[in-house]
Amino acid sequence: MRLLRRFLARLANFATGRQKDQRLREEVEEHLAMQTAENLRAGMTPSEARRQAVLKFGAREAIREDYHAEQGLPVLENLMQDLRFALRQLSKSPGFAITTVLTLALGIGALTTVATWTNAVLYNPWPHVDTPRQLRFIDATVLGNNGYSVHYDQYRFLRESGRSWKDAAAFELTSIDLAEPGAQPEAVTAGVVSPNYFQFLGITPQKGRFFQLNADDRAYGANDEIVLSDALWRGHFNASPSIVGRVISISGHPFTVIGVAPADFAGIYGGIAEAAWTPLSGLHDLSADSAPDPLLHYGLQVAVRLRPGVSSETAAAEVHALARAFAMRHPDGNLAHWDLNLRDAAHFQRGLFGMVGQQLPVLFGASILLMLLVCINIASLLSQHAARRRREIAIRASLGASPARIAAQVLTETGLLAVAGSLAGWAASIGMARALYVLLPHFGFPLVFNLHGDVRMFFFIAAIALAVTLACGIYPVRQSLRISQKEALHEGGAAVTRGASNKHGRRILLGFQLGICFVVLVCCGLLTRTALNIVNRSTGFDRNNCLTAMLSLSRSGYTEQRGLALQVALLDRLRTTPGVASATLTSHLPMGEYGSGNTRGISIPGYVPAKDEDMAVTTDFEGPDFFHVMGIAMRQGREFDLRDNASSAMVVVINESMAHRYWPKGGAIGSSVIFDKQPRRIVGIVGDYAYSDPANTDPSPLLFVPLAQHYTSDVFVALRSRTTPSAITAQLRKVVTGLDSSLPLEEVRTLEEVTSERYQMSRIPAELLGVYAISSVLVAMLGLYAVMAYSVIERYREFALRMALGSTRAAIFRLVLSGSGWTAAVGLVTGGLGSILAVRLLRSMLFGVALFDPASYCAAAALLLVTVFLCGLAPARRAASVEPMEALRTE
Amino acid sequence: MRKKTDVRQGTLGLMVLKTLDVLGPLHGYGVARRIEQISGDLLAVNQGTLYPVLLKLEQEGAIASEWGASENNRRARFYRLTRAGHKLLDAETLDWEKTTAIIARFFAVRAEDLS
Repeated sequence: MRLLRRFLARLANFATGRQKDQRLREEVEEHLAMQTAENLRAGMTPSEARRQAVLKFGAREAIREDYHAEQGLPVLENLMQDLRFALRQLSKSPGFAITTVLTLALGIGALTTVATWTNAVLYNPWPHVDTPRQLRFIDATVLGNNGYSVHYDQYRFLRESGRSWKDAAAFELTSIDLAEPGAQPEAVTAGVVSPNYFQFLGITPQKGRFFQLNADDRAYGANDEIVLSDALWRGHFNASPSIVGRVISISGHPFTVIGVAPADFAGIYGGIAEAAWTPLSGLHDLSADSAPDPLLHYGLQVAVRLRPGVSSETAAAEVHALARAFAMRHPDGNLAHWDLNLRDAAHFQRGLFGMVGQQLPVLFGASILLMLLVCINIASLLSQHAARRRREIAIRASLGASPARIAAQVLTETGLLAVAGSLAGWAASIGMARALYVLLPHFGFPLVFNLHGDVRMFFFIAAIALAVTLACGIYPVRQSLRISQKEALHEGGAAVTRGASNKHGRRILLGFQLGICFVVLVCCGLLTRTALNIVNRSTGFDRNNCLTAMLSLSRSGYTEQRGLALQVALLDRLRTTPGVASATLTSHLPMGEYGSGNTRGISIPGYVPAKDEDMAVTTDFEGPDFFHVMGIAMRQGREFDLRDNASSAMVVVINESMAHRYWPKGGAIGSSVIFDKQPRRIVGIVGDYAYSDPANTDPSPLLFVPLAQHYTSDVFVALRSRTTPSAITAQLRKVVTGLDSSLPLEEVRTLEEVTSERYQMSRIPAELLGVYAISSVLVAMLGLYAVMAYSVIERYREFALRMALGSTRAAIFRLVLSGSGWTAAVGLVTGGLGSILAVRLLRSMLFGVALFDPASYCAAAALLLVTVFLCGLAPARRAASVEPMEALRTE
Repeated sequence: MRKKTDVRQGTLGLMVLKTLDVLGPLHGYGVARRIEQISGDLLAVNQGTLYPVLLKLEQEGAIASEWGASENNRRARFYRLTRAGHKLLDAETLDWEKTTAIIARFFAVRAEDLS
């Protein structure tokens, strides 16, 4: 209690800066006067009386110090003093301060950005969701291909039988038409979810309620309800307070709004924002021509919430085991050879988290290297700063400053820079983190990531600032202490060439910096070559000059009969439209996202599948002339044409991979494939083309079926233009409106735009690492230049002396440049060794380029040498321009 | 070094409290003289060291101070015991007596008493 009171009084004095100096002085004066009077009475002379009084009182300054120490908080006061001093010092050399803070901001900004992204995909992706780290996702592997969605029956089985998880929920993205009476329908991205979805995630509605738990998912139409996102409620319904209970029209069916999700909740589909949610049982009424049991052919995403204490490995093993158990129960079904995998958010292939998650290790590596580079730079700048102040430090030491005080002073200055750099870096990272929205392909979906910092982020940055202070401060502290111990005051008598060991230390440090640069440059080179290889790789189809658009016929109320008629009529009209060279329809555009990867079970007469061989192939549905319009090579036979319709013989086309797989000896043409229980004759074989991933070197078998013989309601129109794609956009719209004025034309894009999203993904690593490479080179250049320039100033007298002794300017110039040559050599050696280790991390990200690609290494080395040369040029010229007489006279 | 000062300051503080208790409000010089008189030459303390102790006690709330006029009509700062100070003094006195009693007992013990 007393201690607290005393501390509070001290704190108050410290905070108000109140000084009781005046009071003490008066009291002391009074005290001395009384003692003097007493002494006088005792018979002393006036001067002796005063002298004795002062003696008896004691060392007045020491007492004043004690008094002050008692009054305030000495530790804080010293700190404040150091801070003020550091601020003064830094404001005296603003160039140094600004350079240091900006360099630090760059390093910390990069690291914080990557940490923000990690947080956004791995640790706290959904701020509204209860303990998102317990969530895991399940996807399927079919025929060795990952990332497939899970069947509804599998989901039920997992939910009912799983022991590692508390509960499971299913969800999938869909697009729904929101139609207000009399208004043009608006397509929004929505989630079709199991009824327990919101409770599973631990989310409570901000208005109304969520779906009834345990409603029968197959009681189609019984619960045609919809939950709106906050964004949709505000944007589309003007935040109407009476929204709950309102009936709105979704794809022509009445759905009742039962609630509004909390603000900022946009689903858990890895970065893709959902605007509304309907239960699985609403699936039937979301389109006009739904099958009687839509869940029979509907892929779902499945999330599970692990029980506390259950490890991912245990749960993953159970998922595999359950997948096998499910297959045993349904040996004849399509799902017999499906395997299921457990993923965390950053490895889940659906959505964009996986895409970001893939880059994170490399980005973290690059950020840490950059940070290391920055720290070395700052340490060397600070030690120079300290060296420049050797006289001042020596004076402080000789005046009695303890080593601890000097170290505290240097560390305070470093800490101040670190805090300023961290704040600047943090501020920058808020902007830099948003680059995610620009970098990532969005496939036409609205994106949302949790890029808000939280307490963890604050501690992360504080920890970095502390680490930087210690890491960068230790070198200059050591140096300052050494200065303070040495006789630094008589500098004039110092040796002509000072501190050879210091010079070597600095050179190694610089070399190390260049080595880090080299590693980043090599990685960037390899990834750039990878991206170029992928872009330049032949796709097997023609990406140029092709216009595409999507029609969702079932959502617009078309039944199969009417839809088929519309497709035929549409192609008929488009063929004769001026400017259109050729036109076709397809269920999936090459390298497009939508409609890809649908597998169908097949059987082939005469082909005996091996044990455990899954007879399923990826199947697309194509209109007449598809291969001609796409520029896909016909290897044998013919392509689909107008003769292939519902009343003619059933036909299919296959790709070369399928022909090789099932007819290794040839003779595929004329053979038949049984699909949908109907035998269909193979009439053509086409060349393999890039189906989805342009970097895939192992093409899968593909089966193509005429659209006219297998109705598909969601189709793409693809047109070759005689001139440019944009020239026929208006014509396409006119033709579609002419057939049905209420039919919306979606995603009108060129094939180049559609496919560029795939290339964008392969470019991301190279682009990101390019940013790091540029930053690293800049930081290294800065450090190199600063050190070289300073060492030239330091060696002024040496150069003057050399010149006075007959050295030529060219020789001095060479001397300085050869010094940087040595640094470069150290850099190349350390960088070479470092990159041997580092590139191994990249192995899985490379395509068509060797791990030790000579071109990348040579380019990195050349760039580094040029950098070193450029940085050395100006200091070398300066050294060569020394006027010997002037330089020697100034001493 | 530090420890030693603390102990001395503590003792000095107790002396200050007792002095103010006995003599009532007093200025710094008066306290110093009084301590000197009582301890004689045994306590070789500089008078000035008293002032940090006075400040410490004041910040702890044991004493309060205000400006007043001294005997010979000079302006002086008078210190007086607060209620908390009285309590503190009582507690410290008890403490001190206990400590001295224990120490005294130790000194009184002779070798044959322990056998």
